[in-house]
Amino acid sequence: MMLYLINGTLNAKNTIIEKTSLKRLKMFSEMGVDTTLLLMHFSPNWRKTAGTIVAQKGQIKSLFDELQGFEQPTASPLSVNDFHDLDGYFRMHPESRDYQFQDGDLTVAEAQTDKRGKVEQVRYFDRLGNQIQLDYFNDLGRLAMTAYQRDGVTAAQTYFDQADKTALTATFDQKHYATFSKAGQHARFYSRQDLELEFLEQRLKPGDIVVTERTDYDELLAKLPQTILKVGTIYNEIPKKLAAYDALLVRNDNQAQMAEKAGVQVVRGNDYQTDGTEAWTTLLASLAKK
Amino acid sequence: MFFFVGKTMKIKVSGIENAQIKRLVLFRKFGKPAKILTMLYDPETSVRMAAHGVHADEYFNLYDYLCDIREVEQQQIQPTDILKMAKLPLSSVTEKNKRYYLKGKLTLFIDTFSNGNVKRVLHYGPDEKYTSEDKYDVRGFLSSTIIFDVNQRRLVDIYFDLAGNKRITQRWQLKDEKVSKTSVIIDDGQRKTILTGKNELQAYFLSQLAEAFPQSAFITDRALDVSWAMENTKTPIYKALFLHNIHATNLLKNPTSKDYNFNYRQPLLNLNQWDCMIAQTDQQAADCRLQFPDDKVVKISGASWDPETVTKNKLKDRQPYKMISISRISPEKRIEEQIHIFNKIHAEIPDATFDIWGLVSDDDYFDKLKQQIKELKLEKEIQFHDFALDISKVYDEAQLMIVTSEYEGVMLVINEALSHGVPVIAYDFKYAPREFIIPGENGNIVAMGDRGIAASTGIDLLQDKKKWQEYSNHAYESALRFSQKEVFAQWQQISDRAAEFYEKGGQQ
Repeated sequence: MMLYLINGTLNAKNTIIEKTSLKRLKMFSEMGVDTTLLLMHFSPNWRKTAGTIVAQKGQIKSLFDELQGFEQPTASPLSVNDFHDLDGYFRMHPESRDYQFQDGDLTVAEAQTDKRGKVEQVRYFDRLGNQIQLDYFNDLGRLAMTAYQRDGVTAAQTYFDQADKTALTATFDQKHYATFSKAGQHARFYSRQDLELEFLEQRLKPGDIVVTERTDYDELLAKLPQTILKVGTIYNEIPKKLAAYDALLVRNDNQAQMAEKAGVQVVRGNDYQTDGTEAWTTLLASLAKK
Repeated sequence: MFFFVGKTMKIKVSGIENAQIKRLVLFRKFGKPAKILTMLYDPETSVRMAAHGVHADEYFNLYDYLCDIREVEQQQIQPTDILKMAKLPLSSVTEKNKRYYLKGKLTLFIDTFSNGNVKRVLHYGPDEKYTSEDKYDVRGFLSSTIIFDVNQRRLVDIYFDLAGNKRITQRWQLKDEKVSKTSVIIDDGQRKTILTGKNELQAYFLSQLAEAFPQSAFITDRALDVSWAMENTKTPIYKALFLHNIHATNLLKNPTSKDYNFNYRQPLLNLNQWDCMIAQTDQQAADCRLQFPDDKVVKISGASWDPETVTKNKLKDRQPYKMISISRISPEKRIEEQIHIFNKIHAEIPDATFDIWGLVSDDDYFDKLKQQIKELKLEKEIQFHDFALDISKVYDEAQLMIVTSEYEGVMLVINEALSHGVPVIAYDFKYAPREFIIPGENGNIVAMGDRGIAASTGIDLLQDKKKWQEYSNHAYESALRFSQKEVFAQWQQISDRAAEFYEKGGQQ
């Protein structure tokens, strides 16, 4: 049995929900449960957030890394001083973390770095100051994705593999993904959920447990076979599709009542603020009986 | 290295590309390195060049060059290969008119070149709207991908090298619901360069060439399309403006007219940035010297031919009373005048026939000509023929050529006709007739619009076999002035000027 924690992204702006995912990862390891945190969104800098030690354990898998073939846990983020793409331009370094690249008085590009001077994003501009494209660098020091905008809204993205070749193209319908297509293949997904479902289906085996606290994944979990056990953890929001879950970890009586009314098994615990080992031990034991 | 800077190369070429090719052949013959440059993206450039006898190492296309694509072995990539790559469950795929449906839903459109290779693949998303298009080079590799927005409007073009690396990214911006090319990012594998629009892209390309091929001479054949780029290269280049046409309007009445031909306006107004302008006729060179500095004007004939390739045909070897016209079907050629002249000749010589060869570049004008022929009841006698790559046989079987243009930079077909022993009767337009025709020896020049004299001169020549043979003999001889050897010698002055330019550190 494998336990999978499902979450969106890990980055510097994460909330308590993502931070708890990392905490759980550590907790389950200590409990001796084989656990992997699955990142379903484009998450180019998760290694920096999770820390090198966690990253090297291979307990975090990113859907996009997998599609793009990024598997270099020891590579380093790109320092702005090692970013030579725009050496033909004059580099300005104002007081912020943004570096500007000038052609005469015109800013042709802007590199955004983290507090350690590692490149995260590079924006390119035309002569009128319109953004031409936005490049995202990952924490392996590689160009991971380029986004193209139209009318101020992202209209398409191309994701690259380790050899800088297109691995995936995404097009957008307004602000929503319209299609994902794998380069060289006609593997085509008409929604992010289709893509995520394929990612999970390739990985999950009967008896595995998936855990999520994002209600965004209700529908996705509902599409997984019944042989996969689904656990929800509630921070604030009650899942919209309670029936998709085999069990819920709830923090208060209200949440418990609502879940029980829907016939979902409930375990009380608040691992956001306290040690949740006991609650999880109870929950996993009850699932084992299933 | 000489670079002949053009725009594109089609199978049916205009006089300008024809002149480029002939010049290239001339340089090849005398061992002088030269290449044709084309600026437009065209995945069929290689076959088009080959069709004109241009070798793979005798041209550079901007996109190929910047994507490091040089000479490529022909590869096969067929629709079945695309389907295999697409990993479609073939049992669920149906095909109709190149459209591939997966479980009834339009998924791919695969178009092919005439050689069977894949030309382009359109990928369809939800609602059967296409989201991207892969373009393949005719040599059998993925050349570019266009990504569309959700409304099927062009968003970005990405051009790849042979290894599939992104080398050129061209953005399309939306303005008033129409898309237009704006910015370009070049990635040479080490650095990125951000450019605005096609002109900067071309200037970048020319600068790259100037660095790769130092001390080269750049001869501009498509001035309207490339002049700005020529004037704005980062690396100084020796540049010459080749005049393929009149440099200004109304030159017959005013040889110093400053109402410049729009094709040459940019370079002529910025001539201080150019080393020289090349006129193809003495008459144009003289007119240019009336208003431009003497040292900026160079005369080099655009006509050149190899006497060894021509067999002298006697009158008996030709079709009796066959008259020809060879030019684009375009109003400035005033082909209606030729038809009127032929009508008068035909009235005297009922066996006379008239073949009009050339690319139709104006359909309305073509229709008017056909109507004129119908009204004159000359449908049997006058025949139109499409553009042909080799028309030597046409010349060899003809007895007379008529030229009635309003204006020309030079009309190479006049010399071509003479070099095949065909006398030419022409209106006295600027510029060409006076360069090639020696009146009373190899043809005649008549006043503009004087159909009567043109016709009577033609009748006289066609009816007097002895006279025709004398004209034909003179035609062969007179054309020797424009033999390849003679014309190539004229190019030495450009070589010398280019060498001097670079010796002075790239200063005009």
